[in-house]
Amino acid sequence: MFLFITIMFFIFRLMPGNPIGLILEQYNLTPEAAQRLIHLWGLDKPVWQQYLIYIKNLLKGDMGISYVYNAPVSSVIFSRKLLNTLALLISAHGMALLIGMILGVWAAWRRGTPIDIGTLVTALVLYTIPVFWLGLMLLMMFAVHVHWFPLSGTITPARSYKDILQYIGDYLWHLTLPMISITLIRLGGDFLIMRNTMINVVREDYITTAIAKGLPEKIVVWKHAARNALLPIVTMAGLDMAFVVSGAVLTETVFGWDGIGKLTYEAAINRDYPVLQGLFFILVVVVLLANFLTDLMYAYLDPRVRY
Amino acid sequence: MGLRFNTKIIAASIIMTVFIVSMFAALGGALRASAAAKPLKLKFTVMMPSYDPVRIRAGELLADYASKIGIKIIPKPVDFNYEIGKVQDQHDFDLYILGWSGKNMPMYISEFIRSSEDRPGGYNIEGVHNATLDKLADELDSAIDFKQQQQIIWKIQEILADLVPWIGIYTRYLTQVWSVDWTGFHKEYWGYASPMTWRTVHKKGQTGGTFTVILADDLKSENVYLQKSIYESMVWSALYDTLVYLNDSYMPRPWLAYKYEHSADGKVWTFYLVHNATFHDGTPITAEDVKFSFDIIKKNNIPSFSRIAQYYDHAEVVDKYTIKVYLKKAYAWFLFDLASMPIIPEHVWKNVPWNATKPPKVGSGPFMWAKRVEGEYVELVKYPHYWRSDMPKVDKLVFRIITNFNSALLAMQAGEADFYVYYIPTSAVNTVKNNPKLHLNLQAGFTFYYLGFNLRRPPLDDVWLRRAIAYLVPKEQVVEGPLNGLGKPCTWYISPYFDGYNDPNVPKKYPWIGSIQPQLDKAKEMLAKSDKYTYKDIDNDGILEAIPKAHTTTTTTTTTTSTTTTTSTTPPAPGTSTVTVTKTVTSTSTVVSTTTATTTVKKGMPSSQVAAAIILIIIFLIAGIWIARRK
Repeated sequence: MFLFITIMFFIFRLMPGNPIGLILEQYNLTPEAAQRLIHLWGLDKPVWQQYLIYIKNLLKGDMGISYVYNAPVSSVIFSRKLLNTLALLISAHGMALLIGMILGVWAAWRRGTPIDIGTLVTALVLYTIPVFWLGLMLLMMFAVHVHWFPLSGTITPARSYKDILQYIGDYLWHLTLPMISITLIRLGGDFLIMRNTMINVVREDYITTAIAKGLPEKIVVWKHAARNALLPIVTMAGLDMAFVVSGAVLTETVFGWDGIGKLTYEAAINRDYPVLQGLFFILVVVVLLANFLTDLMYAYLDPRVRY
Repeated sequence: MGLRFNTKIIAASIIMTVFIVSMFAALGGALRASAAAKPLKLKFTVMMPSYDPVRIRAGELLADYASKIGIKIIPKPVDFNYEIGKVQDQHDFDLYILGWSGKNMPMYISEFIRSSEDRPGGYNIEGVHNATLDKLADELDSAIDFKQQQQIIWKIQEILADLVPWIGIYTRYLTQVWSVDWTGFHKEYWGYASPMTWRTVHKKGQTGGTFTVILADDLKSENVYLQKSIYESMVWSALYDTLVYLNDSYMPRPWLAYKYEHSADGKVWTFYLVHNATFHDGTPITAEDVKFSFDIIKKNNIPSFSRIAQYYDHAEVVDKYTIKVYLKKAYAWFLFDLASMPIIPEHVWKNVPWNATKPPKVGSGPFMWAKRVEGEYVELVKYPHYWRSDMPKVDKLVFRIITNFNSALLAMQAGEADFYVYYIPTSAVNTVKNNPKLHLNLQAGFTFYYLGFNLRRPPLDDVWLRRAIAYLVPKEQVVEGPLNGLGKPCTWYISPYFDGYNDPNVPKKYPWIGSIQPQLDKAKEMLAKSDKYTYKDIDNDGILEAIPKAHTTTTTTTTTTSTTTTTSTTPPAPGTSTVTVTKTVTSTSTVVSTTTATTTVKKGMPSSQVAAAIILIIIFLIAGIWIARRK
């Protein structure tokens, strides 16, 4: 982890360009003022010195001050943006996982039938669609032609709410389209993995035994086969969930969903080093945590695994 | 098990690392050595930001035309920030295309031509060093009389047109889109709506209601002094009033100061404030508040207002509504800067640090702060006691944040927003034009997209070569092609949209600036006129070489020419003075002697570097083999 932080630190600084590049083109800063900004941000010190300062502050739990927001990095990241991203991605990934799993099990059980082939083709198509295109299409259909859903944002601008329920309702209404678009994109991959493992499981002897025992089809499929086919998709889901905190840049941009993905993109464009480092630091922590949780899940799903 | 520390493995890995590093170093040295030994080929790369198809196409077209007269230009679209880093910080470029409006605005031009700005990160990217320009730049910034300014700025334009350190390609129309139900709009500033628009906009035939504006970027803080982008200034210009404002021809006019005057030397300015203006908490706006608004900028050297911080010295309150402002020296563009300087209440700010992210937002403008949801919207409501009782005309002003321009245009089409000022891609223009509910306002502006030369890098230090390339820039073709007619070819150094500052004689007197279509024969003519280099394709590869004229007959001795002729049939060994070019040269002896003269100067150092590198490599190879065998 320490290694990772170090590599990140230097990679960001190796990126060409500097944090005041963008400000320069928009503002006519006087040369002295630009120099002062560089000094203020500590960018005139040698890189190794900047690095030591960064590590020292990080150990104290201080991730630095954002160049763009002029606020502590932690308050920039742990804000409404993180909540928005979590709401969007957890719901979308969960939905995709659920639907993908059920469809995958079902298609594998009915392998070779037109239904299976139909779902397979649909899944492949969904898997390859560019997410921003899908997003724009959804917007055109449901927000511009028929005004069923709003165009962007997480809530209606300048609206006053009677109670918290109304607020949540408005939020969910805005959440629908971005969630659907991520669900559709994710669905294909989840479906394919589930179907593949399920096809292998179905060929196992214990399934034949179960059928021979005269157990009802439902119990064979869901209790015997599906449970055993869960392991790969749980691993995948665990890792995916880790990336939930990194946001979905394209979807967030198209739907104007103010989240971490947009923040990452913006920080990279503006060379906002402290924010970038903070984001990746949190990402590393969450990836490690997610791996740990996945291991725990294994023990539950597969009795052979004991810790 | 456990890991045992094997010293041999560690030693071997260290040696391997050093070996690999030295390999790269040697390779780099060798490459640089070979690059230095070549004659000056007319082979350049042109960088442009990869996000803008128009500028990419401009570079490609330029490359096409240049290749027809033997100049090889390689278009290289790169990340915007990378380009800025290469161009402005490292000065590592041949040609580059960027858009920088300041470069053709009278109030900023002086920064771009000062030789003191030729430093990493400075504004003098091209490396212009001209004593007259330095003098004129200083004179311009302290000239307060319009006639005097005009005289100086015309001179600057003539010198620039003669020197050609950069050349304008096109200017892009400023675009505003609004819903046809609304009226009372003003001309756009550079990239954002005029502050006057918020004060006068209203629905046709009625007042009141909510006006929704699309903001292309969220506020980065809730402090006017920490503003980071021009979009933020749109919000602040509705919340705060200024002493003066810029009218539709960008000239300063009285506003909160109903009258102003300056002393003969331009260092003392007196402002007379309107008497009935109040802050949003009801307290009157007085000279003390104006003095405080100046002092806070000076005291903290606030970057967004760095010019005021630089020139303002102190202020003197004459009476409740009169203030005298003393400048350190006369400053030509003082009023322009005042048009964006917010007047803030002293009683609120005196106990708040200037860089607080969420200070109290008691403003002086036509709208009061109501609510902000981060990343979503900023809501302002009408201030009922605004000193102009006829303003503002709407009850609510909502800035809705949509960063993606496709989504923004969809929002306009769906009627979810009433006003949009930002970049509209040329491909989307027709969608907007054909929508009966939307009005597309095109306005010639002073955006300035230009091609810059690196004057430090021979042969680009030759003015005739720069003039030749200027003749090749396909300005009209870029405007009509990729820009879809939404702009104009640039034939100026100071935008003609500033009345009186633009020198109309430049395009005629300096035809390479006035040229809007590639003229190959003219370009060739320019090359032939050069007094610095002879441009000739000596190795017959279709690319011209530049041969310095100054050194032609002076230093070449008979011995060097004889070595040239002896080695001309075989490829030269590394370390000897001759280069590949001489192989093909057979005809004129003068040319041969010139090339040898230029290359002998540069030979010594690189060859010793290469030798050292080779020895290093051999040592490390032996060491590596030895360790590997021992294991």
